[in-house]
Amino acid sequence: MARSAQPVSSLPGVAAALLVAALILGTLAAVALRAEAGHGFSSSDWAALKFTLTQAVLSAVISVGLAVPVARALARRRFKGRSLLIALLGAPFILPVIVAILGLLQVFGRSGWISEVLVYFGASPIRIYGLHGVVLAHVFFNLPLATRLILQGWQEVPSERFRLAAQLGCHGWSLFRLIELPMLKRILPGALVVIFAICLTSFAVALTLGGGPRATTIELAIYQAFTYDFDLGRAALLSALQLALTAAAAFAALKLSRGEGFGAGLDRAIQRWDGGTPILDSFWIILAAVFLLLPLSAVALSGVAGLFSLPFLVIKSALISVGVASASTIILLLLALPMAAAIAVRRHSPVELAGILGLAASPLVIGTGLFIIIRPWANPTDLALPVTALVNAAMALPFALRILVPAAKDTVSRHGRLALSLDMEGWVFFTRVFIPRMRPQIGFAAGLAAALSMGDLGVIALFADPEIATLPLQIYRLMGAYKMEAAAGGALLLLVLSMSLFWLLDRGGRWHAEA
Amino acid sequence: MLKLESCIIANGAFQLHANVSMEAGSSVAVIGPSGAGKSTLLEAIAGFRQISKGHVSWMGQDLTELAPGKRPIAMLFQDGNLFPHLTAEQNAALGLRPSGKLSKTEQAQVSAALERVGLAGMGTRKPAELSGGQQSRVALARVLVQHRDLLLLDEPSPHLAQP
Repeated sequence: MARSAQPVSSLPGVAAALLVAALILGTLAAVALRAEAGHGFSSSDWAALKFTLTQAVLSAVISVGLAVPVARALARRRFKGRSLLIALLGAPFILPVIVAILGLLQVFGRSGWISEVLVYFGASPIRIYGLHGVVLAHVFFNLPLATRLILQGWQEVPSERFRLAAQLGCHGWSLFRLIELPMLKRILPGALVVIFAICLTSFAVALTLGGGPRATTIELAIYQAFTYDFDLGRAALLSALQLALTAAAAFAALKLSRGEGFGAGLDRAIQRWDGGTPILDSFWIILAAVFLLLPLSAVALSGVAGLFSLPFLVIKSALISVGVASASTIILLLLALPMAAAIAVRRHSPVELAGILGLAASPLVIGTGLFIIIRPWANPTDLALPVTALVNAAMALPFALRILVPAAKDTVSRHGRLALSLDMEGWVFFTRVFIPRMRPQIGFAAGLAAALSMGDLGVIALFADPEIATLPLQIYRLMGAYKMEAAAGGALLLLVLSMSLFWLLDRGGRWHAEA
Repeated sequence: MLKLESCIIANGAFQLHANVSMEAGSSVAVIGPSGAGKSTLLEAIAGFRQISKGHVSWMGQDLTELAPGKRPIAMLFQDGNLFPHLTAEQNAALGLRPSGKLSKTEQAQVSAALERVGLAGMGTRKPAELSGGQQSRVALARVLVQHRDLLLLDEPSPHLAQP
């Protein structure tokens, strides 16, 4: 039929989307059915809800509040290493949470660098555990994201407008009110709600820096209901609560945010004539850079010592992690590529909806659901690794599609006609045109998926038994046993492995790729 | 004989009525101001545009419902005639087999076609390593090996100097 002539069928993509929807909605249904509403929420559940909301609001407000001056400074200053710093702002996205936490502990912890200085001057050391520790870690992760989102807003202000303002003699406060405030009003709500949504599902940070009745997130409470009490009904009830929260937040985030372009074009500095105060700008840039780099340097410094005397357990878990990350990446590509193709040939399809479904559910909620589904059939701990790989892939899917879909649309619109005239359809088009043309994006998405899976400390904590662990979980266990040197060595290994996997896949995709 | 019988081709608000027949073996030039519907006509014949009424046929065979690749037609577009990630040889080979996997004799046909358009020895180059005119000639070589009954050219040779 000439009408719907498309070089590639949308059927495999629809099938993949159905699988994803079945996985996510199925687990959610399992959770909802199992939730024991009769129990009602206990006071500790309400406390968890309150803490979850409090820390998410604080993290969002502080991250965004600090990001405004940093982004403003980055937008109007040009200096050596500027583009490197901006690239570095993208790194926390793929940074394993446990690595960052170890670094933060070494800088801000009770026996960390700052505490040592304080003690030296007779002050008491910092207490990092609790609300402020959780918020600190969240700001560490989300300040860069907020900075990138806001910087994007600044870059999108047409340079003519700054020129006009300069001609009118506008500067300082009046320039801010004329040009920058309207832009911030447009950008900030989206940035706030995105970070709020991310912090809602915080698990690893709350697990390591929170805990106790006064610093437990819902995600952590699910885990505790599982591991301490093995109370599936309560875990499911909490999951239902968490689901309502994350779905609402994800919906609001999608409505308010316009999506980050993953940093494309952010390295362009706008020419401005108002000058501003260079010292203040430098202060903010240096502060942000130090805040980001200090914990990472701490991990590198303390890890080197342990790196060459790693216990066998750590090596073994590292191998397991690489295996899980590879499997997760393959699953992701098997789902995302057909879905991207389907979205490219049929606009506004439900496939797109299935693609963002993952944003509405949190890993532990899906984990809980899978546990409930698997238990009648098999021992869930036997399936810990496949389940981890699968859930990691599902969680990476929305990000992967965001990277792949624009390139897929471009490939189909640019080469579809020629391919059709040569009778290249279906599999032939997919392998000979679609995949080769999208290699850079496929590499980037695969790198992202691999690094995210490598650093994930979530579902695996729910499913694993003492015999088996991924590297992040192993590091967490070592920290719990106060084997800090081995933990630091493991963290450095994890950091190196995650970044190498990302780099290899991303580079591999761009290798000899013609524009 | 290529026949368009009381065809109506819609392109947005634009409508083209075509009622024309052309003899096999003839060369036909379609001339008109821009926006007259020259490309729309070619796209409809090649199968890229839906015909809302009427029939297209070739030697009595109705083409109206056939997919573009199944029609006895080779087409060169204004641009985008080559895949940038494939070599000249691989691009030309697609004219014989969409999968690009060729037998020995087919391989020889491709080489001969490239030689005929003056690109002998350049088969391993990718489009980016060829000039605009050379790129057009690779597409021409592909059309040669395609051996289709009809060749549609939609202003394909802005770069093509006298060979």
